[in-house]
Amino acid sequence: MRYTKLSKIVNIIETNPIKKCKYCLVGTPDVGLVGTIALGYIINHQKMMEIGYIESETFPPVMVVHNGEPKTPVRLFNKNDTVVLVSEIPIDSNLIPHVAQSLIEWVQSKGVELIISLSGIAVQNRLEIEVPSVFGICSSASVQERIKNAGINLFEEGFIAGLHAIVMRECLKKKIPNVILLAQSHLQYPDPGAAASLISSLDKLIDLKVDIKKLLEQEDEIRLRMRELMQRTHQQMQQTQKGREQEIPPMYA
Amino acid sequence: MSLDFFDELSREMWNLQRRSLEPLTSTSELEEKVIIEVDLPLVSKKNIKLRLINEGLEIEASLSRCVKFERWGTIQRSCEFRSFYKIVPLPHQVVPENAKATFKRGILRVELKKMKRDKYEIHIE
Repeated sequence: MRYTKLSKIVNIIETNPIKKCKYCLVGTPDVGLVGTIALGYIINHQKMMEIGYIESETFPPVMVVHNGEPKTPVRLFNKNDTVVLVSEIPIDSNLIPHVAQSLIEWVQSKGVELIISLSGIAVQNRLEIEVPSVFGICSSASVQERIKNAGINLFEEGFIAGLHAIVMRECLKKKIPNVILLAQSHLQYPDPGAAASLISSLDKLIDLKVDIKKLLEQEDEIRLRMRELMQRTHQQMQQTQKGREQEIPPMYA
Repeated sequence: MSLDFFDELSREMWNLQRRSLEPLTSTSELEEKVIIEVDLPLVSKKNIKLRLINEGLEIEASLSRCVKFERWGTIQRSCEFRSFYKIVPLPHQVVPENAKATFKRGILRVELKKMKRDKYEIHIE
């Protein structure tokens, strides 16, 4: 086990240390739980291996139990050169900068080439949308070029809030390539349809080869089982000003 | 971590006696109407019952199949649920006759017209 103390508050514990991480995918509970659903599905579909977790004395004292096995709620998975960070609890807004910093320093030490944050952008007319569109926010012109080549539209004006906003801020500082993929989504209902759109776009970007058929088949079941996490996350989002994401910023840079 | 987290964590979104689950809902109040949305996966339109009662809008919807949850904690719980049930409080008095409801992709949307309150002047003795 390797113990990396990167921040006073948040630590990354590697239970199965890896040497290299080319892509890092990040999803924590927020808008429509889109990132959490998408990454949960990818982890299962790709049969990824659990390689570690994020620990903090300031996380709520909660363990999740899967098949009788207690687990920490914020965990790291890996397959080939891809690492996934997924959380089963909403991350408190005060902890977001610490989690972002620790994660970035850790993936940087593994030679990361691209950090991809997965989330949703709430749209009021979600019910009228058959297949949600995905938009990308990029840290540099070369990442923009990459998402354009993958057929993903640019997100041009708006606010972003939450973990992916701080990951972007830190990546800009450290010049680490980062893209935030946002799928059109319900704000406060779990949205597996939006998660499926995210996976399709991700596939075009890094060629993961994930079939979304089963995800869409289990849509109702996922919506039903994620009600409680959605309820808790919605409260958390009110703290991080998630609602502002639908606003247009007042100034142009 | 705020106490709200634990309040919410301990607030169960199911009712074991009724064998019902609590659906996610959202209420918005506009100038002339109140809109209530309810997320009802695994439900078909014909199995939804809506009633306006004194406490608010009562929603009852049977699930197309029973759902089983395994829970951990001090007591290991395992229970099958058959329906969704919730009473959504209304932020304003409404006119029952003008209620409109639609159900699309598992989301119920109920539009209720607000009751206009007649002005009543209070006489000062």
